[in-house]
Amino acid sequence: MQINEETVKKVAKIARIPLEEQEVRQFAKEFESILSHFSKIEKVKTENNIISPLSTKNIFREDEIEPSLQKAEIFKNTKNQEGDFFVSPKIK
Amino acid sequence: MNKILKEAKKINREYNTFITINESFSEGIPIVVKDNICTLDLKTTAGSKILENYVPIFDATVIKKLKEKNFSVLGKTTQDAFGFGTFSTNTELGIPKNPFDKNRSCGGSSGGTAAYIKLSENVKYGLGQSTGGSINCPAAFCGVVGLTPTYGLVSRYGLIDYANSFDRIGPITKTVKDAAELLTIISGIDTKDPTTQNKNEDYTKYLNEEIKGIKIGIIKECFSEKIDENIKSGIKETIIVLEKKGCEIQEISIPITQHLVSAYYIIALAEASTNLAKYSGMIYGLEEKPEENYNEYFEKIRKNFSLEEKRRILLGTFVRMAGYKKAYYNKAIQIRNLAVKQFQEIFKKFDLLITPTMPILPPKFEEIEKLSPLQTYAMDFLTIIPSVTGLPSMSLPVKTKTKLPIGMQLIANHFHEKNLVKVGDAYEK
Repeated sequence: MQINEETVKKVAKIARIPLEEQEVRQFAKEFESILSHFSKIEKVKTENNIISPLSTKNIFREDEIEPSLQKAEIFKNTKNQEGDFFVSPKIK
Repeated sequence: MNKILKEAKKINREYNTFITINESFSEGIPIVVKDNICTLDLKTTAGSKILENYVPIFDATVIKKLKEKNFSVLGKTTQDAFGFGTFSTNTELGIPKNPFDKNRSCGGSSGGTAAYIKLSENVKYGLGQSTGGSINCPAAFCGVVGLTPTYGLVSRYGLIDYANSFDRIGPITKTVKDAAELLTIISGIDTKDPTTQNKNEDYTKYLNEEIKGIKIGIIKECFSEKIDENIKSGIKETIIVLEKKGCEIQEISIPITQHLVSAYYIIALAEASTNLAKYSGMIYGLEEKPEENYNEYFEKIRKNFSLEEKRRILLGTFVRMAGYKKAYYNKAIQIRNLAVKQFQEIFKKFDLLITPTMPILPPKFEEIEKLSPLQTYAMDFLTIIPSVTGLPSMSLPVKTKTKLPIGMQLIANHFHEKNLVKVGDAYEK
């Protein structure tokens, strides 16, 4: 496993986490040891099964109309409100 | 001021057990709750700066059920942010101190709850939440009882999630009896959490039971040289007590347990990295004025994540990336499935398995600072066994001569919490 600073920058860009140079250096060093430890699981013999063996089943509710939240409640945790809308950044 | 609230403030000043104390607490049965469980009109931060001012407009299902039984939330307890930690030190909102020695950790991530339950004279019920061991670990470090129920027994609706396929809410209490009472109230099917199963029962009926003939397996790999000698001898003495009470004890080797830390962290961080994408600076949580385009604004918000939050998001993103997913994420899922199958076979022969809860006694804060992330992750290897497999488990304080507490971990088959209650309660007596 070879994790270098370039790999960390690439992952950070995909994850949209801006990093300081010092964080890039630290993570490159740490990730190398963490991921090479993790990669030892490759040697374990397993079946090619990625479906959970737990016999759980989904539960459903009736599709009935229930009282919904009040507008004042919905906007309680934001400061970016304009009239009856949340303000969001532009998408372009 | 009422004496329960007064005690909460006094303990909090000394031990940092709360992020928020409920100033309007007046009556009802007091309960303290980990701060990643949503409480109506009471601040819920998950220990993170990103949610520092979040006030839920609803109660989590477990809180709703407790309020119906006359419980009242006394306060929201300190924790590692989003549950990312083993020592309750990964947070900027207060680090709880160990009730036995203030220079030591309470364990994590439900550290504040466990410490308060140990210290309080008025409160015996607490709620913790576990992903990789965050109920059992602090229970062990603080000398109280922690019960992590089977995945699907207790609703997760209203829990601020870390890794959805592992997360569980469960009791942290003074005694096994308290834990059985609390589990009876909070468990059961919930249409708001489609993973809940209709398998709950009254767990208090398993108190004061004979434990003669109960078959207990001692997992060999969990008593290696990595475990502190005091812990090993404390647990061995406890096993002798159980044997005298009529339990049948047998050693068992389960080699797959050696690989579960890696499998756990790969899956948990993959899930965490997607969960934390919802904190985008809109609707709730940390916000700025959105002037830039979407991606720039998203980055501006995410810059505020702590170092550990960034570390886990990046590792979780990496193991899901094209070119790596098959070797890491898919392989980890296969190992998890293999482990579940092996344990289902083992529980055809055993009623319970025993391990220590933690490999070390509560460490000093200065010792924790010296640990690398990988060394810290490896500390979870015992609690990760029931976490990866979705099995129910309990950390029970053993009677010990050491000054610091020791936790013993009992693991039962899926939905067999009754065996944890039976044996835990019989040992306490």
